[in-house]
Amino acid sequence: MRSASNRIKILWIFIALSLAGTAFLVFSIITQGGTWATSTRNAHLYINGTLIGAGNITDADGNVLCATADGKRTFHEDAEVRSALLHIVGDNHGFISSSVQNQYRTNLSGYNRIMGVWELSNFEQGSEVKLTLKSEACKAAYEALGGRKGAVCVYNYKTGEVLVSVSAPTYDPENVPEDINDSEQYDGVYINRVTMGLYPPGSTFKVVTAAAGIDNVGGVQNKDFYCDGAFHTSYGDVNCMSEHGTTQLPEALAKSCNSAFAELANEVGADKLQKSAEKFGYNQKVSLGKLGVYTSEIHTVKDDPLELGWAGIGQSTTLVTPLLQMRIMGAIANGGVPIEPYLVQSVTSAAGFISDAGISKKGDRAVSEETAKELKDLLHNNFDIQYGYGYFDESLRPCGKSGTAETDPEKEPHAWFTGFLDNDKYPYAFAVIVEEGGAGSEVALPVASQVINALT
Amino acid sequence: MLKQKQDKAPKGKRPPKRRPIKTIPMMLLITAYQLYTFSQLAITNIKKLEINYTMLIYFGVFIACEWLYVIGMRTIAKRRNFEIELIGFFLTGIGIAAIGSAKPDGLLVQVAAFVLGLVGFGVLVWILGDSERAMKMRLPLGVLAILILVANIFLGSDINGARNWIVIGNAVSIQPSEFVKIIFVFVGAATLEKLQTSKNLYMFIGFSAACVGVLFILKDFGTAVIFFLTFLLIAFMRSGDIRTIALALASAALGGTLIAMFKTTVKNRLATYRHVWEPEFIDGKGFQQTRVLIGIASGGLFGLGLGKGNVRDVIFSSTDLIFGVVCEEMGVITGVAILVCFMLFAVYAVNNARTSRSTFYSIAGTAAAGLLLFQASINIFGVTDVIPFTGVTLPFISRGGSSMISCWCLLAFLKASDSRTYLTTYGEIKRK
Amino acid sequence: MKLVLYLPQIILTLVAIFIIVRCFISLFSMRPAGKPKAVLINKSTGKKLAISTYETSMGRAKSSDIQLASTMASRSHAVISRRKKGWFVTDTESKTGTFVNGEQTEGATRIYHGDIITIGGVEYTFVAPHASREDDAAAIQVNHGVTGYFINMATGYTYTIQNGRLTIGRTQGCDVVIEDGTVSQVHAIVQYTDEGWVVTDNDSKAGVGVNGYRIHGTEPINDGDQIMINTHVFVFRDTAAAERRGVRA
Repeated sequence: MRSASNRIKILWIFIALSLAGTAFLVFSIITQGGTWATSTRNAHLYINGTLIGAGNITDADGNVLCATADGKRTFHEDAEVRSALLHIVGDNHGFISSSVQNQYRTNLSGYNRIMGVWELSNFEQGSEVKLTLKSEACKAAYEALGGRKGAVCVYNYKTGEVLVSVSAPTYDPENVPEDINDSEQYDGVYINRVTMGLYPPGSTFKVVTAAAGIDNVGGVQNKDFYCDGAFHTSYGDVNCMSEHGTTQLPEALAKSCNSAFAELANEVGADKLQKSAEKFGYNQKVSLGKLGVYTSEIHTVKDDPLELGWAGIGQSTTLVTPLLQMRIMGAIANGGVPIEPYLVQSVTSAAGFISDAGISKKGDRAVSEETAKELKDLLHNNFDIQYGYGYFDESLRPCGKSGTAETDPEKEPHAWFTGFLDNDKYPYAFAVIVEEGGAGSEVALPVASQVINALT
Repeated sequence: MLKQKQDKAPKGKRPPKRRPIKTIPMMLLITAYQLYTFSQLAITNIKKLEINYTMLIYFGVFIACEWLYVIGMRTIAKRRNFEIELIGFFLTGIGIAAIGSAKPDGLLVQVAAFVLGLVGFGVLVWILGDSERAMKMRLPLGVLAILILVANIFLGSDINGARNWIVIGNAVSIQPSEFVKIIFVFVGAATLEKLQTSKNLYMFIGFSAACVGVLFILKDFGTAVIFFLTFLLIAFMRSGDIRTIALALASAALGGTLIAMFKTTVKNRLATYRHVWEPEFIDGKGFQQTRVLIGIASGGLFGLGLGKGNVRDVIFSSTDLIFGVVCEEMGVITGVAILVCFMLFAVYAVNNARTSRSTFYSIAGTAAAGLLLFQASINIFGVTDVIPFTGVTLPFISRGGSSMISCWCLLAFLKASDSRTYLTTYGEIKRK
Repeated sequence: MKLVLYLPQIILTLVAIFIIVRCFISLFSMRPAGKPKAVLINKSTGKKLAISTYETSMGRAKSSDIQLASTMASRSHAVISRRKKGWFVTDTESKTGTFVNGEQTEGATRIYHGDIITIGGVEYTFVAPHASREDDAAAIQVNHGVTGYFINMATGYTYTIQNGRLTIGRTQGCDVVIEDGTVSQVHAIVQYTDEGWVVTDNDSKAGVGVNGYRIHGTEPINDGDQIMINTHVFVFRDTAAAERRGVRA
């Protein structure tokens, strides 16, 4: 009997196998449950491939940007708001893949891991996604771009809330143009240029070069730069717009003297310039919630003073997204530490359960507090001696830097303007790019001004 | 007689706190659970108080029978331990709730089968009380099983691709292979002195071969696999010395035939396995699995409530896919807990073997628990694409009268394997 | 909060878990039933072979419960089994056969205390005091009158069990009276049945324990077991078992 009793223990093997199967099943449910539940075959969520009870998407003031009515997804009533927010809110066909509508589909659908689709089946509505955006200001930005390609973004550098994010070209999701795939007008229309547009930074990069100079070159504040219309190296020249003669750093930045910054870049050196840029977020992963952001790139070359000179004025192989430009300005405005931008204020389920709340999160320090203060003064000085207060009221204490990024000699350059308000009431940092717009201070600055006016 | 006076209780050990359950309060809790789940189905509109009375009657009969059994056994048979029955009631109740949601027409048969199963359970527990009596019944039962299966070949009707049904009149259809499961366990088990004779061994091998052989002819792949696994289990428990070789050869032969006969079926199943989400299969051969998985995820941890799911609208939702219905409407925790019940039955069977009064009980108990565990695992892992899909039902939960009766009878072997079961009938006590 | 509507689903799940866990804990925490006891004594060497399972196989094979050295014994020779009625020996297709008191057995043969069993040419005396040929369990109770003792561990009082039955409780009519409010009127009953000694918890409030396990209904007890009536501990002595020890000594 003893041997039979012992042999019975073989059942343990089967129990263990069953247990392993259960563990595998539970693991699959945990890792893939969301995918299964949001499959278009799930009749709880979809009828004929359309989400039946997707929740609302609202802006910071509670204006509904996207809602479900009679099994159809409808957007804001104003066609301009719809167009301005297309890239953030998304469309009905899933063309804008980086949109909130697409990336937060699981939340919007009314599914969550704990309750499954219980809320949807009881309240017939999914979770509401509240954005930090101000739709009126976005509309103003869209209007300011006036049909030109480009991008505008503004965020609160103290909290991280993104207030404006507009990308053009765009279209009205309720009135999709027929020639969208053919017309040159809609080139790259599905891309959100704020997060995925990579442009040469042009003169706006001089801010980074200046920061590298302050940190690495002793007495740079009193150093004299000489410009005779170009910065000369044995490999060739870095051309400047005019002959600036002898300048010091504040004036060189305000006049955007290429010779001075090409020289400064060479004094800093390739490694240290790249390091400074990386501290500001170049070559680093920057995120905006679940929305994808392309990584901005810089690769300085050693032993090539010409290339390094170009890099110092943002005309080398360096590429940057408007979002990072904005974050760089935010870092300087916030005493050297950037607050990570975020777009989703909260995700609230139909039963009132808040599953995802936007929180202010500090990024890695970009520059020391003293350097930040000096950069701030330099950027404010730009308005005092170069841009004037025609576009921005002096009381807002605007700071900024324009840029004119050359890409193709045949075409007009991209117009940049990046800056911030050194103002406790309106702690906004912004970046504007107008593709093939022309000179930054003439084209991008007025756009920035219109957007900021809409916010203040 | 000596009398003792004591001033105060001495400091000593108390009987441990971990008490055995009190049957009546636990029954009340189970009834409350069932009443709530059933009311979700029977009360179709709570505001207007619309009630489905037919359903209410079935649920009422079910609960009444549970109580009748417990009270009857307590007062007449003086039984004290009811854990096995209570778990059986609980599982059956979940099944009846899920069927009420997926296929309310099936409730009548299910409840009726439960009553028959409970009677079968009681009778079998009584028969097994005397191992000599039980041993004498093995030969006629074995012959009966073969006759049933042979009858199945000639009288069987094709339902869903397998001939494993006998339709009597137009109303009653029974699945003979379910009843053969009980006999299979009965014949497989034996007291030690019989276990050691070669005649007994060869008869068992012959019987197993006959059973699996008939299932080949009937094209009942799922049941054949379960029989084969149970055969392996029993064979291992019986084996020793020369017997090992005979049983190993028999296992290899049976397994080989199994694979050869079902080559195309197996091939088809393997093609879909782990590919159910691919566009090619998602609405085709992977339809059932994907809908179950969607249901499991949609139900969340605690379920949507009975009658609120979508898996119930899928074909075979009340039989093969009942696990999906349970998970979606009662939550994945409850679903997994059901599987854990079958594992614990197996642990219990192994545990019982230590103090068993005969190898007949320990082998029968282990085989029954193993069979239930195999069937539950094959069903649950099959519909969730953990293993290839095989059309077997989930014991106690799935719709099916024959299956319900056979599950309760298998539970009787488990109950009988506990040496305490037959002790409690002694020692009738009257309060002074 | 709308989430309140979700509570029933959570409660339902928790109740399901509770039911399953509680029922299985109860199944696993009960005291295992007792084991039968008998001894085979090799007549020539005096060596004792203990039998402590309901079915005991004997033979030369390693898997046998009692492994025999005799070359005349088959690999699996015989099985000694304890059934409801009593002890039996069954020859399992052995070459040399199994004999009880000199007669070759055919099928299951009942054996009694003191019988001589011959397996593989070796003679064994079967010792199982409760299974004597003359009297079955009931007869033991009537004839011998005294069949067991109950000893209070705290006080040392010894109670004799008469006619195979002893009641313990608070009521004066009980054989063992414990004047303690936590003990029920008739708390527990010890008696001799077909399957040996058992103790029954008479639906008491505080429960009955045996060797540290709380019992459930009726449970078998053996010589030397500690019986707990709430906090009062008793030791059970089986007279027949004591006799058996005498035999072995």
